[in-house]
Amino acid sequence: MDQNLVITADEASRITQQFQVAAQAIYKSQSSWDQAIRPHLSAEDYQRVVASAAQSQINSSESIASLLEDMSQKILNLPVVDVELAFRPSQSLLDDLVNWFSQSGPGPCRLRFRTDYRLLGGLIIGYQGKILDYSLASRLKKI
Amino acid sequence: MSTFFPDKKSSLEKAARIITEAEKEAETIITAASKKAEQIIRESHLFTRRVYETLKKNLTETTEEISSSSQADLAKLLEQHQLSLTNFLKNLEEKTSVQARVFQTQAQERLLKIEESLGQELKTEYKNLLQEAKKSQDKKLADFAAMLDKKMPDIVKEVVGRAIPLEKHEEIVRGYLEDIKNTRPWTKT
Repeated sequence: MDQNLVITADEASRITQQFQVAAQAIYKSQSSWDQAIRPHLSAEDYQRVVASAAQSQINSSESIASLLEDMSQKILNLPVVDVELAFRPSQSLLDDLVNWFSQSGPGPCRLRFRTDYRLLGGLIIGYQGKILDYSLASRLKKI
Repeated sequence: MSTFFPDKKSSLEKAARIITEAEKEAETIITAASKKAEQIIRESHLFTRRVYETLKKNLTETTEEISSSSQADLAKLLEQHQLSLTNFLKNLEEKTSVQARVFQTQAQERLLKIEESLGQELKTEYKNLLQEAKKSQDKKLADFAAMLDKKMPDIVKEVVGRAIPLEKHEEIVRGYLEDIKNTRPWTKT
C-alpha cells in the first residue's frame, strides 16, 4: 500500500468493493489466486496487489485473500478530509486536488467532495475538526 | 413515484405471469399425481380380487379332492390357505403403499424444484427492478445537478454582481490551494 495514499471517497469505495469481491473469488475458485482475482480488479489494482504480495513474501491463496481484506480495511481506515466546493469539479480539477493533497496535504487520506452553491466560489477544507474556509461567501462577509 | 420506476408495471406483470405459470404447472403435477395414485389403488383392488377368486377356486378344488381325508387334515389345509392368502394381501398392501409413497415423493420433489426456480426468477426480477429504479434515480439526480450547474453563474451574479465562468472558479480554487500550501496549516496546533 502506498505510503502517502490520497484517494477520493468514491474511488476508495470502488476499490474496497472490488477487493472484497476478489477475496471471495479466491475462496470460490479452483484456479490459482492470481487467475481468480484478475477479472475482478483493474490492471492498476491488480499490480498493486501483486506488488504487495511480493513485498510481504506471501503466495498462498489464504494469505492473498487475507491481504486483500487488510488492504480494504486500510483504505477504509484512512482519515477523511472534507472538501467543499461551490460547483461540481471537472476531472482535471479533481486530479489536481488529489495531487495537491498527496504533496501538501496532511498525509494519507480519503477526500470526500461535496458541492454547496452557497459557497459562491473557492473551497472549504475540513480535517480532524480543523476548518480552512477559503470560500467566496466568507470573503464577502468580511468585506 | 411512477417516474422513478418506469418499468415497475411491466416487471410486476412479468412476476405475476411467472406465478400463474408455476401455479398451472403445480396443478398439472398434482392432478397427475392424484390420477396415478387412483390408478395404483384401482389396479391393486382388481389384482387382489383376481387373486382372491383364483385362490378361492383352488381352495374349492382342493377341498373336493381331499373330501375323503380326515376332518383334521381338512382344517389344517384350510388354515394354511387362509394364512397364505392373508400374507399375500398384507404384502400387496405394503407394496401398493410403498409405490404410492414413491410417487408422492417424486411429485413433491418436482413441486419443490418449481418453487426454487420460481423464487430465483422472482429474485432476479426484483434485482432488475431495483437496478432500473437506481439508474432512473441517478439520472434524475445528475439532471438536477446539471441544472444547478447551469444556474450557478446566475446565483453568483445575483450575489457578487457579476457572473464567474466555471474555468474561472477552478482557477480561483487552484490559487487558494497555493495560499493554503504556504500557510502550512497541518503543522499548526
